[in-house]
Amino acid sequence: MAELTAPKEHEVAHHFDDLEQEFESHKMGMWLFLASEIMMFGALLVGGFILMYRFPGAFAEGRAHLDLRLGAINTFFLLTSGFTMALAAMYGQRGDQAKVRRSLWLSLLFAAGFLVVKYFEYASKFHHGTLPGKAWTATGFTDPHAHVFFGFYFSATGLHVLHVLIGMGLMIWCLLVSRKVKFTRSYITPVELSGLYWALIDLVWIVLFPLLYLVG
Amino acid sequence: MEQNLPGHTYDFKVLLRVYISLLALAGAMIVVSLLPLEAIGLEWIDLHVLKGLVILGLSIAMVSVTAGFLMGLKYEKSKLNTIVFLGNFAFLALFITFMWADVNFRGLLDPSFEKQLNWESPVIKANEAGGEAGSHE
Repeated sequence: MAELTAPKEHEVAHHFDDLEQEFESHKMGMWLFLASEIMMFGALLVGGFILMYRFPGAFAEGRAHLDLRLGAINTFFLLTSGFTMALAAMYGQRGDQAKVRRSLWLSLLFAAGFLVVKYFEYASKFHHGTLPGKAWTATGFTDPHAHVFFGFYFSATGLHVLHVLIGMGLMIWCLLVSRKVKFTRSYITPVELSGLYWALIDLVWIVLFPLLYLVG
Repeated sequence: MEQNLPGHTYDFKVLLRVYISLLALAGAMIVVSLLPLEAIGLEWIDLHVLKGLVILGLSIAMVSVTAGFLMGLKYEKSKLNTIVFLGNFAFLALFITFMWADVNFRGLLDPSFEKQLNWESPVIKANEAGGEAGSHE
């Protein structure tokens, strides 16, 4: 589709000396934000460890009712979208606006794939009634605390899915920015920061996937 | 003259290798989890625990590769962001240590602690109400 106006070069904000200083400052701010995100997920994981320690039988039985294939497909989707986000930053530095957009669209596509798979997983849980706390209606489970596992499952994956949605929003924002501002060797801040956020989403899944689907 | 910004690799081959490594590590995690090590039944080592530790090690390797290459910590000029990142995990390790000490030893000091977590089970209620006929299987 033809653009109405060509993207312009980014101008350095007046309170920075140059593009690199601006980039480094923004990135440091992003890292501090990511640190707070890691602590939030960390608290959730510590809670998960406590429950796993207290109710090992519930975790073993609950885990047996998760579909490992769906978890593996989602891992593939997230790792691939992380790769394409890194490519977007690389192409941004080369000033290849078209390839930046293509990489962002690919990232969005794989992120959407993750959500579709997650929808099928959640639908199965709702269908069987393996829901947290008083919402539990499933029968046939032998461990009396099986609902605890699914409480943790929904808390952890639900918070992660929320982050995936925010990450997809950032990708769309980058696509919009790419129509107005030209990425250059010295200016890729939106893509780089969104890529960092998306990599954090990858990191969280890399820890959640074995914890929920594999270990135990 | 414009310079490449720090904190990122701009080599496609490096990124591709990183991506393939991450896929391989994820695949290895899945394969290890499916190995029927429990059936071997060695007395001198708990293979079930060993399997968990191997999976944890692979997961840490994946986190390291992602943080180092995709998040660019390996290419940073300043190590400040790396310190922030590693500092996070140091605090997380501290929390996990406190948690481990708490769940292991609080029961020794306060016997009522054991009862605090034995809440009414909706699983038993559902089993009583539905019976095997309404099983989720």
